[in-house]
Amino acid sequence: MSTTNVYQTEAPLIQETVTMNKVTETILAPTERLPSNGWWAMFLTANGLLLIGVLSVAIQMWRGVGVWGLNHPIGWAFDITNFVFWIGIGHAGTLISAILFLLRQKWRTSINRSAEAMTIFAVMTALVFPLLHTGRPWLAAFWLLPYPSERLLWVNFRSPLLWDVFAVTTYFTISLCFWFTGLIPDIAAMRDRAKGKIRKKILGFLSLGWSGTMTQWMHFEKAYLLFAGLATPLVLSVHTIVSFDFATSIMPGWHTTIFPPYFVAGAIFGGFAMVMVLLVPMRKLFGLEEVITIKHLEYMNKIMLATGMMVTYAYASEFFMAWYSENQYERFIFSNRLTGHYWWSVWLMILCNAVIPQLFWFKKFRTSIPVMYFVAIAINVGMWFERFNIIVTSLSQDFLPANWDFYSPTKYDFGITIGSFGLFFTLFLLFVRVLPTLSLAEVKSILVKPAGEKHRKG
Amino acid sequence: MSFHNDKITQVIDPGPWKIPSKVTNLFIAIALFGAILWVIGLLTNPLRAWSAYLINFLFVYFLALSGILFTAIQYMTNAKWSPVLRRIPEGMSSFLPIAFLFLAIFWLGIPKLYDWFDGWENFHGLTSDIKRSKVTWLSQPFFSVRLLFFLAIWILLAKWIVANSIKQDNAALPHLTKFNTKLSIVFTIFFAISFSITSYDLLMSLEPNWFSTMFGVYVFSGLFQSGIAAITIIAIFARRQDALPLTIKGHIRDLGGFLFALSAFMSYIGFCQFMLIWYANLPEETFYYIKRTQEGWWFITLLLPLLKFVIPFVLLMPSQAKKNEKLLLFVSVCIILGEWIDIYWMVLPTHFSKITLPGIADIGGLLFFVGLFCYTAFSFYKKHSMVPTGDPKILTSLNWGA
Repeated sequence: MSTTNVYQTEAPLIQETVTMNKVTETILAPTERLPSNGWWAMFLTANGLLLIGVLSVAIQMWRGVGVWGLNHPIGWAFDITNFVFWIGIGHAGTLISAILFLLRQKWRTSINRSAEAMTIFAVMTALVFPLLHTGRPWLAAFWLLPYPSERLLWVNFRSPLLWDVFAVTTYFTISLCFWFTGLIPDIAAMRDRAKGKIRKKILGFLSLGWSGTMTQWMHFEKAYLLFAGLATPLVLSVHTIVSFDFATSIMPGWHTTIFPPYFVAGAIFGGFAMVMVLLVPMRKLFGLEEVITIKHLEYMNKIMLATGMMVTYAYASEFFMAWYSENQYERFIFSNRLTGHYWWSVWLMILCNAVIPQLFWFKKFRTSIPVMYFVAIAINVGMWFERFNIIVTSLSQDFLPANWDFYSPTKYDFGITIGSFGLFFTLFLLFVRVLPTLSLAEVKSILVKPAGEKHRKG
Repeated sequence: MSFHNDKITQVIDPGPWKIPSKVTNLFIAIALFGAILWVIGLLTNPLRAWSAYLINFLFVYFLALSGILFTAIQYMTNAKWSPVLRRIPEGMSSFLPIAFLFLAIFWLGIPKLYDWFDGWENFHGLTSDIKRSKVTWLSQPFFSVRLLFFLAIWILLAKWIVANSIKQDNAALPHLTKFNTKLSIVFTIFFAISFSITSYDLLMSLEPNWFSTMFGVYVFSGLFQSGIAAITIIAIFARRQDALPLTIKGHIRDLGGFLFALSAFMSYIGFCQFMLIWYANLPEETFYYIKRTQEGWWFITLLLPLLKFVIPFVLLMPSQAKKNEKLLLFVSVCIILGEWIDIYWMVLPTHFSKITLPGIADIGGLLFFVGLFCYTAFSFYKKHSMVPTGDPKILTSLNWGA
């Protein structure tokens, strides 16, 4: 019999020196002061990117979708690549807010708010592309609103593209409600501190009469749990249905049964990388290093490592099956991916998604900010090219050699892609100025509390 | 930050599970009885008997593998809740060396079950002018040797991890936890690749013209789901017989949560594989499901979503349900039964186009392998302390959910 207890309780996520008051002050400060020069620099850069996008869209509206580089047989290229990329980015937010909540992972508390905000902005950015590809979105609105069958122009309910409409809108609605529900107590905290009359009015309206009574908290927690339960299947369903867009077809390289879990793992992988891209500058700029610690970042890196391995497994199983199946079309498309016209983009994808993340096996790299930032950007590049490869290489050389053609993007394709990043970063930068970037109540719940400490100073 | 004062501060070793020899002898008797039935089956219908061998061997093989996989995942994720339960999956994995013997014996059954064994004249891919990969991949002895090689590596790593875990019982050796974490990472990565290949080989190549990239994930999800169900059943019995501390109620509830989540995962994988093949409607893929939905097989096919998804998902949805041990036992039994039927459903329609219900060989094989599996697992529980008292995280684990 042994009663030795050698296990040192792990160091707390957030140091003891961080008091409740400090949390409130640090998190709310950015919303209560004028923006810094650093913020302005980033904001104007993002605006510049957005402007490029707006100009490209304007020209496209004027001249038609023909300005894109699409041809026959490549009817889908940058637009759908960007759509899938941005939808995928959103997944990390829901995973952190819902699944990690159900799994009682307390470290999520420091990153869930900004990740959820990122989800919403990513989905908004993604939705630009299906709208744009209709050519004249104002006409699309006529038959899409308020729901697609409204004018008895029955849409094809057997098409996964339509399932996508419902999946994405459900996802967006639930994510928004979940995010806003979590925000209510924090907005109330801001309202109670607000100086200006108008600010107080607006925040008072948004906080829905929150006063922090025990009953309110009980309802709040129940609602939060329910939302987490509702959002969890959505983490899986949205990208699953996006993968159906491809996998239900008979196109070699698209039709493969592993697509659903492979897309979901890839989405979480890319999403976490994007959270990292946003959080690292944010914690620096707003001095949040004590609440978003290296440990939080390290955990995120571990998730990226794990999901990166799943994506690698999916690549491997696709290549293996193409070889094993003796199906000539499958074989052709997969050997063509490695050695054909787009070989560089496929190898770039393998390098970024399967090789570079292996750096995270080493604690030294997992906890080094420059390394993790580099890896996160590499993953984003890799995940973008993953979608590009799936879409374009399969389409460009399908069953009939007479049909073959290659795709070269035009400046408008690039312009819209750049613009989507501009839109995303602009929205995120606005968010960090006006709303608390961390969940006050949830961060406080994991602090090491000395007895009798008060939330306010004095 | 518990509000309770009954925090456990000292680990009390409950010792090994006091299982009467009668019980372990009974397992042996069951196995012997099963062996006799199976031999009778072999004499009457060898094809059917070898099918039954494969079905039941895989059934317990997967349970044993899920034991070491669960252990490895707990180490890898630095889980603090589970050390108190760890002996259960460790014991399940003690069947693996015996599995090696029976996988080797299966060499004799391969010519009967796998049509590719007789050569490729009968099998034409879509075209004959491309390089035949299956001639190399599906050929003896490469086929059997690689399967045995994978199992040998799993046994090596499993034995190593379990031995380290047991060493900790008698002396404070916290570094072994770190070492086991590393071994677990090696095991899990190797397992992901080698298990997929094992499932392609033993199950998918029964239909040598069929292929599905999801197949490895599908078989894995069944393995993991039934593994957790087995752990739940053993944990509940161990607690009732005072082999595990009474305080593990929270752990059992969390196993219930796992069962709920995995029922969704399993059905997700199963549905996606089926739906994508049905929707694309390519003849080189659909025949697999057509075979399994005709000639009465649809009946078995419908049992799968019922046992593996509907029952666990609906019954375990309320949070109270996960604390109800009787309900958990019922659901776990359904899941394990579902897994057995799943393997039955993957193996039998290959050679039996009309539905066949379990016969003498299936029941014999089931009794034989389950008897043997229970014997090895319970012998392990009889020998080693049921709580890994020397684990550095054991106190955290004991206080879980308190």
